[in-house]
Amino acid sequence: MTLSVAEKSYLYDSLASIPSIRPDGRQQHQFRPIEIYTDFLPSSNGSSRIIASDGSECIVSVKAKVVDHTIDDDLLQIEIEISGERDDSLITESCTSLFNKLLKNIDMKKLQLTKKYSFKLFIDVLVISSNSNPVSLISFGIYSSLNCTLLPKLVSNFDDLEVEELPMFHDYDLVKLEVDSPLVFVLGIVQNNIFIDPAANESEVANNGLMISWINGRTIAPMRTFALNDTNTKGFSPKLMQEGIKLVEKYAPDIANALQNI
Amino acid sequence: MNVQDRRRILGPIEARPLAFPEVKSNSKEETAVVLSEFQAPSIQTTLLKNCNGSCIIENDKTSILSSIYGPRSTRSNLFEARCLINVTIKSTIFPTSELKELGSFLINVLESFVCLELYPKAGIDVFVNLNIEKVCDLSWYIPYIMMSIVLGLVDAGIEISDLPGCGFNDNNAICFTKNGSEVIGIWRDKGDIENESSFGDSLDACKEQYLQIKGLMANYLLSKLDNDKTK
Amino acid sequence: MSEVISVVARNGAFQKTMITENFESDNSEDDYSMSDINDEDEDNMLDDDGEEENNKATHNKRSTKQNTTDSEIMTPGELITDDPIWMRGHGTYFLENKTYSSVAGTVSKVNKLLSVIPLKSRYAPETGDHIVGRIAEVSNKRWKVDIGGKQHAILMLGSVNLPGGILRRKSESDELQMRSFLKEGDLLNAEVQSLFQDGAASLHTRSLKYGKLRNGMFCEVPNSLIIRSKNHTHNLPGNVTVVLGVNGYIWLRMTTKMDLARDVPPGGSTQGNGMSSTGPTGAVSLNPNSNISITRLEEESSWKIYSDENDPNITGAIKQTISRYANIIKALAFCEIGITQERIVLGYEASMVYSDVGSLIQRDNMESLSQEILNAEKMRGNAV
Repeated sequence: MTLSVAEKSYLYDSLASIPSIRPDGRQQHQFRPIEIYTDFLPSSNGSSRIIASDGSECIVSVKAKVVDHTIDDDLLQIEIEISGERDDSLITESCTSLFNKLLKNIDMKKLQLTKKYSFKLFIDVLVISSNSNPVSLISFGIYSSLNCTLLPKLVSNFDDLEVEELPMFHDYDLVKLEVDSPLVFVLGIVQNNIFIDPAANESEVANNGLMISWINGRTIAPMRTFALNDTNTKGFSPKLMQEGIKLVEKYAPDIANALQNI
Repeated sequence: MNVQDRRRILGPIEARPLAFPEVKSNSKEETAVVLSEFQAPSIQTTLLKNCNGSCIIENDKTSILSSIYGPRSTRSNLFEARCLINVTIKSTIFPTSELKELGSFLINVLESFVCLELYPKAGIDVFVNLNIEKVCDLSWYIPYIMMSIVLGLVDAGIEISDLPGCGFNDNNAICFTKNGSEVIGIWRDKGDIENESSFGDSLDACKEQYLQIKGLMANYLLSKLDNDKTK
Repeated sequence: MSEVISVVARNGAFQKTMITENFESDNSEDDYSMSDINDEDEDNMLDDDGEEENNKATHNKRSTKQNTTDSEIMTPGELITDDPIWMRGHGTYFLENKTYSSVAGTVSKVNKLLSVIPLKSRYAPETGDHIVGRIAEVSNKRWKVDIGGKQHAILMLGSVNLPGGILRRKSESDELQMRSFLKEGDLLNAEVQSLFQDGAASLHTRSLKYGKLRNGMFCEVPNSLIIRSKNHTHNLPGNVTVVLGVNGYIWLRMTTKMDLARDVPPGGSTQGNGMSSTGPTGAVSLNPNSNISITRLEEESSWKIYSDENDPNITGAIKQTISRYANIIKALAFCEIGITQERIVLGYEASMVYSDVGSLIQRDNMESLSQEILNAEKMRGNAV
């Protein structure tokens, strides 16, 4: 997205003013509305399709497989594909690496079936279109798809260390996967103001971006700065990081609630 | 097929790959304690002749070599009013995707202090070679990598607005500029952030380390200038 | 719903197929060349949730085109007529003396010319259109301008006002410093001067009402929602001026001296006049009495017309108002209602219920605001 110099300075001045005025009049902590379709892929254990109001869209599918966790202890595998980007492009690889680190925060005990076997989850993300940074959208998608993931119900014994048997499942009963999933928040920084969920035109003038992850009441790693554009990147006051953390801690529960109650 | 493969330079027929004796890995080092103390490394610039600037940062476990090419003309036909930066990190012990992620992080950090508008239609390529033993996860190396890149840029004569640096404390690698009044990057890979005040403490510790590094870099550059003069 | 985020849950996206069981018998008496596909298309369209919105859009379309007296919706491949006297226009094709539609849209008949106007398409420029565009490329003696059409429009160096007045001729040095007039990303409004053989538009900015855009914000809507009219620049209450480009690109800016010097468009809301000098928030604007004539401004025109600097006097209140207008326009676009000055003003009045501009991005609020606008329009008796 290229903006004219006059547009940029108009946006920059509005966002930098105190109080800041966002181009669509949002509050500092306000997200753009999103639409979510859940459980729409018949062959996945859980799925979600998430559409932001600017037309960004992403599809997440969760599939499960039973593995011997004494052999394979990597119980979550994530693949991210961003349309229009190559598999080995900088953005795709950094997103994958980021989410690999992020998903380490998920409690793997919840996936354990028996003493020997666990579910292994394969999370596939396809970003169909994105107008601003997609990480927040992806994390919302993963959150809502894990939230609707149904796994087969175990009927065999939990203790199977001695007995040589494979886990047996109920014919049609499914259990909901109860697991906390992390969320990533993207914050834009313009001069001394920090705001959540920068839109494409806000990103274009932001001095820097901050990515803060959150899970069930805790602010977690990874935390990163990343430039939202390649022309306006600058340093920012260290205080803003604490402000950003505060902002996320305050409003993340609302987001999690909103995503949970759909 | 009669098309000759010109892209590969094939060696002599009887060429063999070099063989090295197996190095015994010391299992103790795998679980080495986090090195919270910053170890002042040895610095050396202008090592490589075929690039515009280079710098090696070494201490007993790490050796980080940066080589800077540019500003040189880009192949792109589009008009770019500013310089494009590319950072490639090479290492054998970390996965490529993680290195790429760090690369894109460092590009963003560099964009905030390199004077890009002075070099329109040009590109700067930064290559970093990590010759390290694994003592900690990747974020621990960021201060050294930053140091090596910054001194490499100085060596290449690329204009930068400040001598930035990075400090590491409590899993946070935070890059500062302007004497610590501005942050240009943060990278945190593990651990919860318990509360703001502990984060603030870590921020201060990083800042202190940054100032220390900045002093080291400035001293090195000054002594190098003196040496050059006496020559 | 929390105020932080609004999440709408939806059901059934891909797996739901909308084929009614009796579709084959349904339209059997009609003459279709590829009956199965057509039937399905049509059924889908009629059963879809989007039906209402489609109709709204068509409704607007109908109202704009007076000549489409008995317009009906056509789908691609549908037979329009087998009467060979009709000339075939855009959106149609001809097979064995029969004319078929090649797009989904409404039939338009002008004299003996038969064409189908698509419900949704890229912008098709016509001579005289007032458009807003963005410079995409600077090339030899011309700029390529993105106007949301099939091709980039062309703005020749000779069709712009160069600094130094109207009588100034372009010189070689101008060719070398084209980027100092307009560069990539710059927004401008212009008029379509003519069309090239291939349908690309040639633009000109040879009037002071055209040129580089400053002091405001850009927003984009589907071009079918903008109705061609005599005037596309309107001064709105709250000291804001809007440029409604026919191509669906819209520029909202603070009202300047120039905008006030220009005649207030006839048929505009009455308070548009009174309020443009002082906004409802009390922002005092530039004095309209200074009475600068356009010709005099033209003499004064210098490098300023290509300046990238915004007016330093844009207050926070005006920026808020601009954001409010942008949200109203987006709400109108979301509900597929044609965008006119009257509706924007009505929307502005109706939106005052929402003191927080940011709440206007919520779906429910957008819908109720649009309803409010349509109701107000009916009450005033100027509903289309």
